[in-house]
Amino acid sequence: MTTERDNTGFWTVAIGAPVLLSVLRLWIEAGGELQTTLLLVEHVDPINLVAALVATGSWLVSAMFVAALAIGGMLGASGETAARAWLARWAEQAPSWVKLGSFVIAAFTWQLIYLPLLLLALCAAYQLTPRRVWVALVCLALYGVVIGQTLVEAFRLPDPSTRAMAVLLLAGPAVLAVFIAGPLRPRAVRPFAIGAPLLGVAMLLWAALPLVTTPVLPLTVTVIGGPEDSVEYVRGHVITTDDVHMVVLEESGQVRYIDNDLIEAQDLCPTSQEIPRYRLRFLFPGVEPVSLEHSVLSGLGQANRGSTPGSPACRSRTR
Amino acid sequence: MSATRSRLTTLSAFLSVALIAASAACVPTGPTVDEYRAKSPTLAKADRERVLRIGVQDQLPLMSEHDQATDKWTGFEVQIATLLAHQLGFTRPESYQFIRLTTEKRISALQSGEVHLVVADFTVTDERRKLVRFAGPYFLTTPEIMIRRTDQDKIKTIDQLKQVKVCTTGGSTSAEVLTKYGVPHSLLAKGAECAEGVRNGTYDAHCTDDVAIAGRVHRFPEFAKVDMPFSDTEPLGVGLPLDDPYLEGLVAHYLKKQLDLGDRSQWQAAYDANLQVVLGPKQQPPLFPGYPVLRDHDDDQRR
Repeated sequence: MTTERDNTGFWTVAIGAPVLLSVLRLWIEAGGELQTTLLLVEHVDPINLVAALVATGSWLVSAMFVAALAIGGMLGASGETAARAWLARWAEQAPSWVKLGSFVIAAFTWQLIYLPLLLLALCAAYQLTPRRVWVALVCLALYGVVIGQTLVEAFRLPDPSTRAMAVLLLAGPAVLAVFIAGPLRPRAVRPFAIGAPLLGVAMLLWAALPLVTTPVLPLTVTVIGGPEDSVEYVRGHVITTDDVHMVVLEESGQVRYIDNDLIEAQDLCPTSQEIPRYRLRFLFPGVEPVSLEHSVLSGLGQANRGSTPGSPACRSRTR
Repeated sequence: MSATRSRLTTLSAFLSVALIAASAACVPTGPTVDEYRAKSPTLAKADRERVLRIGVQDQLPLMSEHDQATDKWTGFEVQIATLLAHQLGFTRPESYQFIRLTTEKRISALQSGEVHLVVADFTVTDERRKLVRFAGPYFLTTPEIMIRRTDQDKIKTIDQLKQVKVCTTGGSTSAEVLTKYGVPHSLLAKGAECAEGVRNGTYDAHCTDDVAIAGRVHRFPEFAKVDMPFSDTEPLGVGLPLDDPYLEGLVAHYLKKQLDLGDRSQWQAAYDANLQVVLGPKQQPPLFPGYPVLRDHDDDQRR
């Protein structure tokens, strides 16, 4: 009975959180203005809203499942008392397709930089451990070959946070993955059962914050003709276009109706949230270097179509 | 064995938790191009006025010239200035303007706000750094002498130079070099006036940097260059208002991006199209140290 209630609660969060995020994003996009919100609701297709959320937030949902499975797997292997914790029970009873699906979606949608953490979570969730020391050493050596060149490159870059990240996120999880499977010490079960989910929730909330503030509509710069041969650059999100006007929600929050005849050019722009945090790229002989902040999916997309430099017009701020 | 294993597992579990928490903390916090663009008071002014005004010289062959008939600007410095205007967000031809400046007016035009930046054969010196900011260098020059081709046998040394009428521009580093070597000289507002003076016999020699001389010698065969043993190398920089460290950081950032692109850069294309014919193959010089490293959208694509 308790298990069923826990399961219901978990699924309520898993389904409800994305819906809540969608609503929050729309509200934030409108800057809390009633009329702007109504304008957005009128023109933003719910399907597009959900599609945008899936494109930007599926990694977060899979992270929630992976974290729950990893913590549950650790508690499940740590004796009867620990196995009664709700996360352990959920992890035990979750259908295989949920478990496998979470890891597969995570593998494709997480940034490359976090994939070593996924490996660690996989070992914790499924209690995978090498049975012989030499197997562990061979696994680590192979892993070292895969990330070696990238690690060396990290230490060549001047930024100390890149070096710290390389050690913490690229090298650290692989070493810990060798030892993660197995029972926790009885005294450690309770602190782990409380601390790990709390940290998980805090991290997920921290990660969800930028997701909520990510605009629903694409950012553009529209160049329009002004008086005396001048031009004006209008930065904002295009809400809709008809035969007469283009309606733009400016970054300042103002909604502007621009006469189509005045439009001279328009460029798609990245937002400041999209600035890469690290200059490090994954390097491996024979493989095209790819940014560690790409996921496998976006990396494949870029390999297929290539990346385009942003238009310099996106720098403009004229009023 | 199992107790040891359990200890290792417990240690790994808590280390994993600590590692995940620590990874959230190690995020680079350096300034971004967008932040500097938004904070620059000069660019805010240009945004309000809807035009970026760039100070250039107008009679400097191969560097910056204005064709009255077509109303077109050409030359190496014009291309560098256009590149910077584009990168700063002024991408349409109507959104940036070239303003003619004499050598003497380069500093005062920046100080008064008449222009937002200066790309006008502007040598970086410590004295000038007290009055304006510089981003660069985007080119290295040396002071040289231009004479009439017919006088090539008469003026070969600094001692011979001291015996003839020498002209240079007021407020230029060439004037400082002539003073340093004890060469008497007259000061005019523009290099083109000195060149005309040499042509009509008012002066015998014009002292300016080698790139300006190379352009004039290439364009006007009646002139010749004399290699004087002036040892000073002069870095040319983009002049910027003293109160705008953000614009300085941005311009340095865009020059560094060009440097990183090497042979594929627009700097190289501008050099090859304008100056290579007179100065031979050259590469963009490295920047002065100390400019901030700005984070940008293409950071993960650049090497």
